Formats: sequence, structure tokens, C-alpha cells
Amino acid sequence: DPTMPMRSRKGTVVAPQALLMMYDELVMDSAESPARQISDHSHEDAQRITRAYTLALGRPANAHEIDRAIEFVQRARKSFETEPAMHADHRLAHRDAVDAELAAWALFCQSLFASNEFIYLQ
Amino acid sequence: MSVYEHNLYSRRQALQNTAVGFGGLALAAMLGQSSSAAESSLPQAAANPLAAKPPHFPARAKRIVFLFMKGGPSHVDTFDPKPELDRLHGQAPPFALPKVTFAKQGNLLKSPWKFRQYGQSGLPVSDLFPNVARHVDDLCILRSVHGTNPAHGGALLKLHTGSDQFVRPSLGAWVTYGLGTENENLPAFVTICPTLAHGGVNNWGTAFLPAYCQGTPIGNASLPAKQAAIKHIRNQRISPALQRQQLDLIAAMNRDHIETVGQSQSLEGRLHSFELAFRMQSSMPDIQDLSQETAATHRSYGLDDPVTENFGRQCLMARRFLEAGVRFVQVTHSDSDVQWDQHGNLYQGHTKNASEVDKPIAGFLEDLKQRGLLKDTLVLWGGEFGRTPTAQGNDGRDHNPHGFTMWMAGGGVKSGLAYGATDEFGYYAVENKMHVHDLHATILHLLGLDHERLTYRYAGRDFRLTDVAGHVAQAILA
Repeated sequence: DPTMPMRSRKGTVVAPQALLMMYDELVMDSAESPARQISDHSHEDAQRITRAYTLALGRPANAHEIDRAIEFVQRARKSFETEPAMHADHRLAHRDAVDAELAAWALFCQSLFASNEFIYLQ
Repeated sequence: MSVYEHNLYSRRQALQNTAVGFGGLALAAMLGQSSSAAESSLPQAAANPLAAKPPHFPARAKRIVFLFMKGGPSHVDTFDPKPELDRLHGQAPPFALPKVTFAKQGNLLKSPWKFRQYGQSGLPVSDLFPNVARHVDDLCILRSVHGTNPAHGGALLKLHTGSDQFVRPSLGAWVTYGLGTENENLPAFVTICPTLAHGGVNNWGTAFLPAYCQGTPIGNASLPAKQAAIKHIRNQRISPALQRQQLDLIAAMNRDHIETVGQSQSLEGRLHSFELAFRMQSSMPDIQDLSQETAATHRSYGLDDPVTENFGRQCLMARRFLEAGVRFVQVTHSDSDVQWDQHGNLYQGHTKNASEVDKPIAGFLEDLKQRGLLKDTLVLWGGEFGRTPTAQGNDGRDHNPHGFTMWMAGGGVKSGLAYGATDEFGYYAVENKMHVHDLHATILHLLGLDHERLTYRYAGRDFRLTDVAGHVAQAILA
């Protein structure tokens, strides 16, 4: 409750916040910019991923994280390319393979923004 | 390679190594200790914070639904007949008025409606509620409620949170805090088409209680019930399969993070909130999909009539939420006009309002009964105050927080009973008075919670819904 000072962050998270972080238009669209940045940085998936981690979290990705991210981006890319109708309201749907690529990376970047490590300072 | 890679120095490292240094670490440790002591009374808090918790003692009601009539329905025109008021119509009130009233009070105004006796109990109900009247033997009519506030804002806050002066957790939040939910796919506390005015979010907020106790609003009072939905619940931008994969990715990142930095309730709470959000995406539209109900049910709730369709839809959704295990459901009858607040135009206004809710409420009670839900569901009906037996203008009534009617049904209350009384004109509660704190204490008691034991430590002391007051109305317990 923003009107009440609380001594700790404990228990301040709720499902509607999660819904917003994953599906709000502003959040989704704002992930496009870092997606472009990392795409410009390199043509290699692993390098793009490390770049994304560095930009968002201030540290490089480890090998496990890179593998996991590559798998996710590949699946997302395939989904955007082959079944655009399933992503009917996506800004980049129904366009071309280039945009499917960008959409996949944007979704990955957005996931970084939604993660605890990005949001919480320890 | 940019300057980034060469001079990698995280924000975290910066904070830890600056002047705060060891002091900062010590503070963090202290906070960690004090908070875990406070939370130690919460079982399973590290797991799903919304998981069902046992009540203090066996509950008579497992869930509660509050049918909130915003604006203040007049009790002397609905459930509290006053023959003396009729007799002395037009005369100056022969009693002392309160020092503070919302507006200038006129002479006594009799009720334009006839009261009839119903059922085996013979309880009187006015012609405004002929359908609800058929269920009068199920009702426990509380005629001596008092103590909210002369104005809507304060009154709503007092009714919903127990305080008209400070920001306090809502009744629904306390119930959620005490009992959790039986359905892990849904929020524990849902408020359907709530008003955003007169307290707004504070009426379903958590104040200092953990955030997961807050109500989830479905639409609001300015939207038709048909359009009411949780924000972002429907996402057409990425397919469900890809959403699931994204969620799995975020969860995997978060789990790794927890392993690195150590357990934390806020981190784990966030994991849960994402899971719940994902599950709500399918569970919520399902519950709100009324096409699964029979045509007979639709008619019973008045969905086939434009007058009753909107409120009927809300009530039917409420039944589905209750059935699915939601602990606290609020349904608000309000609109962008004056709702029940008939400072003028009493006859037309109350006629219109009652016609919108009477049939749906009766259908709702009948439905709960038929499904065997009524016996362990506490139903509460009422507004933030009643109205004055004295006139405002020619044909209106002013706010009256000094004595008004709410009714309960189901969940362990005696039925076919009128409890408490106002004076012979209906101005002040005089017999078996039920202050808002008493109402709250009684509600918590019916849910198996001791209002004096359901506390939360904040700002150095233990807070509770009933502040330092509240008596359970034992006489209405079945």
C-alpha cells in the first residue's frame, strides 16, 4: 500500500504486478530497445546474451545461463515466425523473419527486466 | 569492447563498499531478524503466503460475501418499519438531533412504501424488496447498526477498514491474513465492480498488512459488469505456450538468484505472484464465463432483464468465485450517479435502485441454498449508513450513521430474526446497539477468528481490525 510506510519489503508483491511486468504494452515495447542494442552489438547468440546480462544486471552471463537463454530465444523465434496468428496483438507479428527475430530477443530482454535480480538490490 | 566490460562494478558492490559498509550489513541483519520474529506466527509464509490457514476456533462460515449498497439505503423504507413516523408525518422531530449532521434536517417524513409481513417469522419488509422478502426466514436483520460517519468517505472507510481517521487494512485483508485461500489459482479476496470513490482502493487495501492480503478488483463501478476484468489478464500478444515458456525462464532465473543471495520472503513471494498471475489467466476468465450456467439460472439472477442484468451478473460471478474457494467476495451496487444516496427524490431513486438488486439478490440466496453453500457462507447486505426519518428538502432523506439496518444470512447466524432496534422514529440505535466494531468482531467470530487475537505488529504495537473495541453479538449466533 503506497500510503503506508513499511519497515521492510517483505510481502509487497502481488499477482497483478506480475501480470503487468509480463503483459503491459509499455513494458513489452520498451524491451525492443535493448533488443536492438544487443542485436547491433553482435550476430552471435551467446555474445548477445552476455551483452544483455551486462546491460541489465551488471555482470556477464555464465555458461548455463547462456544455454538456457539460447534455447528460449530459439523457441520464441520459431513461434513468432511460424505461428504469427497466435501472437495476434503483438506489434511485430504478421511481418517478416527479421521482426520475428527482434520479437524473440525483446521477449528475452523483457524476461530479464521481470526477474528478481534486475528489480531487487541485495 | 565498451567501457562496461573493463570497469565492471555492480551497483550492489558500490552500495556495500561505501560509507554504509558494515553498518549497512548489520542493519540488514537486524531487519532480517526482527522480521522473521514477526513472521514466525505465520505458518507456511515462506511457501505460498496465501495458503489456507486454520482459524482460531471452529468456524461457522468458511467464506463471506458482502453485498455493498453504496450511498446508504434508508432503513425506515426497507427493513425497519416505523408506525410512529407515519403517524407524526410532517411534524418537527420531538427529539434532539445529533450535534453534527451532514445537512439541515427538516420535519418527519413517513415512508412512501407499505411494509408487509413475510414467512414464518412474520418479519416485515417494505415493497421495495418483494423478492428478498420471500427469503426473510433466512435473514438475520440487524436493526441497530451505528457508528460509521456522517459523510460517505469516512463512512465507507469506517465500514470497510474500521477507521475513518487513519489508513488501515480492510476487512477483506484481515480475513485473508487470518485464513488465506482454499484455491491457489485465484486471489483470496475479490471485489467486483467496486467504487473508486470515497476511500477507493483503501476499502480493499492492506495498509500495513502484507501486500498479498489486498483485494483484487474486477472492473469498477463505472464499467458494465460484462466488461469487468482484471487488468492484463487477457494477453493476445504472445501465445499461451510461449507465455508458459517465458514464465519458466523467469522462474529459473529467480530460483538461481535465490540460491546465490539466500532465501528471502520477498523474492519467493514474487515467484509465487508470477505463478498465481499465470494461473489466474486461465482461472479468472473461466469463472467470469457465465455462459456455462443454465438458462434457468440466468433468469433467476435477472440476466434476461436489462434492469437487473448488470447487478445479476455481478452476483452470479460472486457465486462462482465463492464456489471456487475465494475467501472474501465483495459485490458493490453503485454507478456513476448517486446510487442509494437519495437526498432528494427518495421515491424514484430508491425504487430504481431496489429494482436493480432485489431479484438478483433473491436469486443469489436461492442459488447458494440449493448448492448447499448458504450454510457455510456468510452473506452480509447493507450500505455505509442509513437515512434520516427527518426530511431533506421535500422528498429526500439525509445520511444517518446513528442507527441503520444491515442483514446477514447463512454462515452460522440465526435466521428469521430481527436483532436490535432503533427508536420509534428510526433515528438512533437504542437497543442491542451494534457498533461497526461490534459488527466486525461478529463477522470475524463467524469465520472462526478471535478479533482480539488476529493482530499484526506494526509501528511498535499490535494492531487489529477492531482497534480497542468490538464485542461479538452472541445473541445472533446460531
